[in-house]
Amino acid sequence: MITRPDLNQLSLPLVLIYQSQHILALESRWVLGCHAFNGGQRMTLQNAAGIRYLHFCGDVEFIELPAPQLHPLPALMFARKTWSAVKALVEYRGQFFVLLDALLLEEDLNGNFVI
Amino acid sequence: MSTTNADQLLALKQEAANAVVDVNEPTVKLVIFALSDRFFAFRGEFVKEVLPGDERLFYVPGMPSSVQGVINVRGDIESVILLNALLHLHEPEKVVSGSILLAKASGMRSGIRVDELLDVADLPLSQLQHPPESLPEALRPYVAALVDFSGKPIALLDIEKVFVDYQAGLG
Repeated sequence: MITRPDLNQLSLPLVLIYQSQHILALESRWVLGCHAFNGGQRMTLQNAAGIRYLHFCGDVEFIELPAPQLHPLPALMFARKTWSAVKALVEYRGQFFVLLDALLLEEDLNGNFVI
Repeated sequence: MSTTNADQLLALKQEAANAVVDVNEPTVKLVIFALSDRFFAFRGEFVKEVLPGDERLFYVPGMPSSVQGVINVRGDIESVILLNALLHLHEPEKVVSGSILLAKASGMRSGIRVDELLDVADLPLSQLQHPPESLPEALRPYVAALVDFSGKPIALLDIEKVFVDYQAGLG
């Protein structure tokens, strides 16, 4: 008999990026580190394409998100999304924001990720 | 008090009796609403709930402007969309909270923001009329019937067609 894991016992490690008015989340498994750089932050990520950098202004936070607080995108939104990296919705501290797929982040001309 | 005669009185009573709605006539439940100065309806079977327009809305980036965001309905996360672009109606000049109709059709569900919920009414099926040729072209694919409600022309929308086309990228 196959037993399903209890969702209430699972969590998802995330890195939250506080970018101006918005909060964006990335799975921490892709994040190698983050440090101050040129007045902002430079996050080092590793995906299938190798190591990439993500520059932004704002704070970062590491959280362990309880599994019930991760929600799939409603079907119509999934069908209509204009930003392919938008993967799911995160519910945290009474707010909702997007989880981005690090494998689908766009790159600028220098090969750095952009958000 | 004015006087009358028995014949007139009986004739009046007969007219009144004929005017009584046949309770056996099949009816359809309509959720009637205003959107961009026009009047529309969905069949009630497709509208699961009517929510107040001031539900807390969370903006989601990376979506077309017709997606307003998401709301939390007792733990279920629902999208909220605007149909103005799909139906070629002018965009609201000011923010109108109105109401949110939580609709489910064709395996999809979403909140749909409307300017004002006018009524939820059971109307005789016989009152549904074919859409006229004069209907704006943009509305034709979505209007299943027209119905007169309190003197207002109401366009009954095919919510399944609305959802299918919206999912396909229209609007």
